[in-house]
Amino acid sequence: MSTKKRGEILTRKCKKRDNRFLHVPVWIWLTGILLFSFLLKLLSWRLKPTVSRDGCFYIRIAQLWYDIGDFHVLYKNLGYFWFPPLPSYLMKTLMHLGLSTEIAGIILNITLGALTPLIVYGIAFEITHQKNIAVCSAFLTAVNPALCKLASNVQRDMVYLFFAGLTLWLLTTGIRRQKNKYWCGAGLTCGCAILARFEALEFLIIVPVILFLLYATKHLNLKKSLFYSIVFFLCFFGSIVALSFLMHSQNELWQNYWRYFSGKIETIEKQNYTE
Amino acid sequence: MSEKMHFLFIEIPRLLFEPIAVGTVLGCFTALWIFHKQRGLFYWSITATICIMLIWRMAFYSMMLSSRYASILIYPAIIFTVCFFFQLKRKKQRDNSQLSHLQNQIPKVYPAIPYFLVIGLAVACLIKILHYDPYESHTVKLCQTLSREIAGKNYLIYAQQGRDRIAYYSGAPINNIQLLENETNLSLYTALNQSILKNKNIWKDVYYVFYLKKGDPEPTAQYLQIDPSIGSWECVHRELTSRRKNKEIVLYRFAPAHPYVDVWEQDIPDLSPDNQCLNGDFEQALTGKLQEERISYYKKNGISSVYCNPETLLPADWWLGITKREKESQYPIMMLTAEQPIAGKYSLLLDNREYGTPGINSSQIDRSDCFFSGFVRGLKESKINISVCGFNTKEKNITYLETITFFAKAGVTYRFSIPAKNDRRPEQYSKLLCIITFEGRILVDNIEFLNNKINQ
Repeated sequence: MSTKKRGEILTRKCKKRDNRFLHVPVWIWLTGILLFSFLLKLLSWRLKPTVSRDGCFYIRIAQLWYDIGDFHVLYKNLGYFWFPPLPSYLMKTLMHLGLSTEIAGIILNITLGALTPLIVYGIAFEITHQKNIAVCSAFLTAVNPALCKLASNVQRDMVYLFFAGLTLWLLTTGIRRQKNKYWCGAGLTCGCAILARFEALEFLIIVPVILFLLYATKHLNLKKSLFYSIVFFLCFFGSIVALSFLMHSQNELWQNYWRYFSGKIETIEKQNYTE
Repeated sequence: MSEKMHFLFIEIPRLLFEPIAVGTVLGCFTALWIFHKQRGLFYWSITATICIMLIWRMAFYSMMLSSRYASILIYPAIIFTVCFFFQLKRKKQRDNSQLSHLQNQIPKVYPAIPYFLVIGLAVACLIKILHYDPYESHTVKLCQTLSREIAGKNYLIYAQQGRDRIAYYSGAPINNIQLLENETNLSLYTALNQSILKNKNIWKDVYYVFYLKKGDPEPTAQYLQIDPSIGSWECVHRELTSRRKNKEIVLYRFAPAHPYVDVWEQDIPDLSPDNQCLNGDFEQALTGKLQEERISYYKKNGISSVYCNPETLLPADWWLGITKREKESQYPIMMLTAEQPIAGKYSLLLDNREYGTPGINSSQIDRSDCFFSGFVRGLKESKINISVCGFNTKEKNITYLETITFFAKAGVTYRFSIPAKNDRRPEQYSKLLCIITFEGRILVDNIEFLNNKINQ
């Protein structure tokens, strides 16, 4: 089968279908799931309001950052202990609205957590093109206990899950529809995810591997594969640079992420040596 | 490898929620075994992505302290589970020969089975989310008690874990909370015993926050082998941590009985006629050649600016310990001052200038049972260690016999008093001296050594 033919399989557009699920428009389902998700997370917080051990640490960082104002001084005050700064920065920004640190963190996490069903709907629909699977996936995401627990506490995981989920959705859509804007969006959200948790660095491996896989099996030609990877990485670096300058953390960011990567490689080597 | 298997088969399913984890595995299994011909490359690209994510986490497992690191897997797990539910119905539509027995048995509701499964799973999730735990706020309640206890006091807090949370809910600055270091080969009780003995002379109440499991012995003073004479040890608060009632969080207080330090608000008494500490009242300054030699010695060791002024008064019979610093501003100050002295005309001013913990030492006296006392005033919040030390004149080394540590508030005068018995000293340490180390800015005055008078 030619590359063009295989590419067409990927971009095969759905037949125009009735945008309903069980005779109800999908947007009503999604709105209902969104509201239900928000209320459930709010209720979960009210049932278990005690901030976790890690949450107290993030509250302390956000409060210090709000009081000090400058990231370099904060970094020095924390004994040069590096932390991905985006969640604390978002909390600090909300504090300027007059909210306390804990409430700012809770509002941030509950809001982002309530939106995750939409992301799962998007991913499931792009993969399966079946509204029943997509809507049911969104519903189960809204009631997932782990996500409720993460969203109802002051943790950085929800910020990471939100942006990483967006990245997955945009990558899935980019593969399916082969439009540059999705690859660009995936790069931007990947940058945000990396500034929330180190684990998001895996996308820097996943994207080239998937593009290579699609090229090797002739679902994408070389030109498109290279172009999409360039668009992704350019937008990713642009996002990282813009956010790090916005947060004034640009000096510390590069050396710490490099240290993270080289530390992981050493860990694998040590594990192999031990075994 | 067993830890990785534990992470893969126990911790990740626990994070995902076990029914969803089972659904994910079944979804992957059915996708591979039954429906692989119906999935295009796109489907397997997603599968490859998930495998990379899983391998990434398994490879770095030793760096992962929590199963939350695998939380991104929740998204594909949910989608795989739902796909599994709907694959049965879809499979029935495409191939009537497979699973037909199920259709024969439940002909009318068969198309709705996936939705029943989704609703059933959602109900299970809701039960878990809405589960109310009356013991959830155990740390908050304990910290409220702790907050009332430490109000207006000098205190120190040791926590077995969760420093940040205790600081947040009790309002104590995090620097006032230390971890109760519990090495792997030391039990909690040994760690408590060592910490209490280390702090027996400290002039503050010491609080301990730790966990006791069901069946663990109660950490009474007798069990911890603490002599009641060194202080009181009592439980202030305890809370169960869960419905299973197999663990509780406890707050204990250790109040040292002989802190050797008191706040002094009365007039400062004169030195006793039996005092053997040379220049303990700091009224004698170095003059003439002695002053020049001392200033020259300081200059040789890097200190110049403070002591170049000829009007600076250096105390006789007291020495400043000097270690090499990077900058002039890091060297400590030791001089006599006539500005609001504690007693007499002069007091000794000590300032570490925000760097290190410098020390001063007195001249030596002959060893005997002795009583050692003096007065300290904080010019700002300061930490002071006062030690009675034995000195070996042959080998020129010292041994610490008794040490007290206390924190001085700004503007408050304290009297310290340390008894030091002769029988605890090795023979070769034939002399005694006093060493004061400090962080902050303090005044010291009226230090006296009284031989053969233990209780004064």
